[in-house]
Amino acid sequence: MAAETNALSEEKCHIITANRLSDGRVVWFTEQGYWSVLLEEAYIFSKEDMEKAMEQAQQDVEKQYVVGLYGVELKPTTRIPLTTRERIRAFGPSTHPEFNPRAIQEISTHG
Amino acid sequence: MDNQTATQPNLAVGRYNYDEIDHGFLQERINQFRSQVERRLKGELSEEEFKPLRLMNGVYLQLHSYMLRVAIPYGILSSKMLRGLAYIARYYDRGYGHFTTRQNIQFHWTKLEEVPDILTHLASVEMHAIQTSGNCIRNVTSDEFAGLAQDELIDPRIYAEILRQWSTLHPEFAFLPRKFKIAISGSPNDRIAACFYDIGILARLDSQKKPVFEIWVGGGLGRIPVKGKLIRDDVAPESFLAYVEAILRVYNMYGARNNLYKSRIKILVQNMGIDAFREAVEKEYQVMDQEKFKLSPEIMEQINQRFGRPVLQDFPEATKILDQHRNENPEFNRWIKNNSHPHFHNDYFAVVIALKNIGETPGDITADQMDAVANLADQYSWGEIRVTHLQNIVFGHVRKDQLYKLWKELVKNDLASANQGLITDIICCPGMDYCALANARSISIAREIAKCFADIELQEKIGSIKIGIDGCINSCAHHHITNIGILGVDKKGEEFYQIKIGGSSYKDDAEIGSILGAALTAEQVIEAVKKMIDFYLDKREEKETFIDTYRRLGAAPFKEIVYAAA
Ligand code: SF4
Repeated sequence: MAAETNALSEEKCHIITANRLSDGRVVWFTEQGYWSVLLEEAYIFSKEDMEKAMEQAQQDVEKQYVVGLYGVELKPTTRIPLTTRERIRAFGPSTHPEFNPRAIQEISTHG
Repeated sequence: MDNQTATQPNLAVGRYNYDEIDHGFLQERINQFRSQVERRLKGELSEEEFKPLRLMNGVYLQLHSYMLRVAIPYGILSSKMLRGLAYIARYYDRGYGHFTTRQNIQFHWTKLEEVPDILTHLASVEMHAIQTSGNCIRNVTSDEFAGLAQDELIDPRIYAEILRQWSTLHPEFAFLPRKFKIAISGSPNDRIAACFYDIGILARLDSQKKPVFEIWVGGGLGRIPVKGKLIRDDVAPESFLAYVEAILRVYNMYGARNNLYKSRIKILVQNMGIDAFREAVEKEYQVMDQEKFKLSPEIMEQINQRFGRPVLQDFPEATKILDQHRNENPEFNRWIKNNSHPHFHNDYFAVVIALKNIGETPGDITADQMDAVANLADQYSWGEIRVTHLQNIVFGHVRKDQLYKLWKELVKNDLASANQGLITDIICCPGMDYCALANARSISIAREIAKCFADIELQEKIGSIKIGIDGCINSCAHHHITNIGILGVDKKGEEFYQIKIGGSSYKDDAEIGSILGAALTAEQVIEAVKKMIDFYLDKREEKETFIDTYRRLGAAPFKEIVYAAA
C-alpha cells in the first residue's frame, strides 16, 4: 500500500511498533495511522520525523488500543528490522514458520 | 489392563483433590481478575496499574502475545486436568503447550480478553495460574518419582501440598523482596537440584533411623549462580512448616528491596554468612508460635485423605512377561533400558515419556498428544501424570507386563523417544522465539544439536550427559548446572552464545559450570558441542561419562579443542 509514497531510502529506516492490548499481537504503525499486523504495511520514518510520529502513535496507547510502544530500526533500504529480536517479532517464531503473520492472514483470507 | 483400583475411588490419584473451600477461593480470584481485565480493556486501569495484577494471575506480555503460565503443583496432573489443558491449547491457543523446568505449563498465544474464560476452565479441572509470577512463593516443585521411588523415606507430596496451601493464603509473603522458589523431595538422593533453590528440602534418616528433613537455603541460578548452604539437617517432619516459616520471616525482614539484583535470599545468605543467617532463623524459630505451624498427625491425616492412591497388586508373572517382550523387540528393549525407573513395588515400573523428539521443541506437547497421554494414563497408570523439571512426562505406576502395550500406543502418538538422560534430552527455555527477556534463541540451538546426535546408538555410546540452553542469564533451563550449558548473549542485536562446562545439578556433586571462552555464533556453538563430544569420546577412560572425563582432564583441553581452529 504505502510502497510508492513510502519509498525506501538511506535516511528513512525507522518504524513504530507496539503490542495490541486486547490480544497482545505485534502491530506496526501505518501511514494512515492505524495498526497492522503486517510489517510491510508499516510506515517508514526518517529519524527526524520519528519524534512527531511517536507522539501521534502514543495517542493509541492512551486510548488503550496498544501497549509497549517503541521505535524499531530497519536495515538501510530494506523493510527488514535490524535486530534479530525485531525480525522474530515481525515474522513470528522461527520454530513455527506457519505463524508468520503473513501466512496466517493468507490462510484466513483464502482458507 | 491392570485392575486400577484406588484407595478412594472418587479421588484423583497422586494429588490433592480440592474441597469446597478451594473451589470457592478460586472462583473469587477469577471474578476479581475478570473485573480487572474488563477495567483494563475499558481504559479504567493503566498498564502500570494492571501489570502487577495480571502477573499475579500468571499473565505475561511476551514478544508475540500474552503468555499464560499455569501451575502444576509438585508436577502432578490427573488425566482430567491434562484434558482440560488440551482443551485450552486447542480452543484458546495454537494447539500446543510448553512444559517448563519448574513443572508449569505455558500457553504462548493467549488473548487477554479471553484469559478470564481460560481461568474459569482451569478452575473446573482444579487448576490455576496463581503463584506462577511475581514476588511471592512460587509453585512448589518436587521429585517426579515421589510416592514410588525405592529410596523414598517420606512422601513429599503431602508436604508440598502443605506448602502450597500455606503460601497461597499467606498474607505476609504475598509481597516478598523477590520471587521465592522451593523444591522438596522425600528421598536422600537428590533428584530436584536441592542446592539451587531458595529453599531445597531432602529427607534422610537420623541416628535413630527416623526420617528427618535436611534444608538447604540460599541457592539459585540467574545472574549470580550460587550453591545453597545446609542450614539444618535434622528438622522433624512435624516442625517442617514452622522452620520454613522462620526462614521466610528472616528473609522478609532482612532481604534487600531496593535493588533487584540483590534481593534474592541467596544474596542475603551470602552477605550475612550461613552461620549468622542460621542464628537469625533459630532465634525467630524459638520466639515464634511454633504450635500454630505444628503438623499434628490430625492435620497430616486430613491432607492425606484428600489424596487418592493406587492399590498396587502383586502379579508375579509381570517381570517374566516384560522380559519376553524385551527379547522380542529391540526398540522396546531400548526404551525400557533408557526410560524406565525402578518402583518400590517389584511388579511395577515408572516410565519417562520424553518430550524430546529429534528436531522438535523440548517440552512442547500438542493438544492431541495431551489427550492421548491422558487416555493412556487412564488405562495404564491410574490417570496420574507427572511433569518433570527436565521437561518430560512420567507415568508413575505401570505394571511391567503392560509396558509393551503402552509403548506401542506411545509410538503411534510420536511419544516414544528412548533418549531419556542422553545427549538429545536437552533442557531448553523458550528463548527469543517467545520470551521478551531473551537475548537469543535457544530452541533452534537445541533442535540443531539434537539433529547432530540423532543416531540413538551414538547417543548411547556418549552416555549420560545433560545440556541446558538458555536465552538469557535468568537461566530458566539451568545452563549454569548442566554438563554443557549454553547461554544466549546479545551483541548489537545479533545472537551469540557462551558455553559453560562442568556444571552438575544434584547435591552429591553439585557444581556451577565454568565459562569456556568467548561467545560464539549459532553455527560455531553447535560445532563446538560436536568437537567437545568427539574429544570426550576419544579421551574417555572405561565407563567414564562426559562429566567424569571433564573432571579428570579439566576445562583446558576442551577449551583448546573448541577455540583452536575458530
Ligand atoms: S532464560 Fe531468559 S530467555 Fe529463557 S525463558 Fe528464562 S527469561 Fe526467557
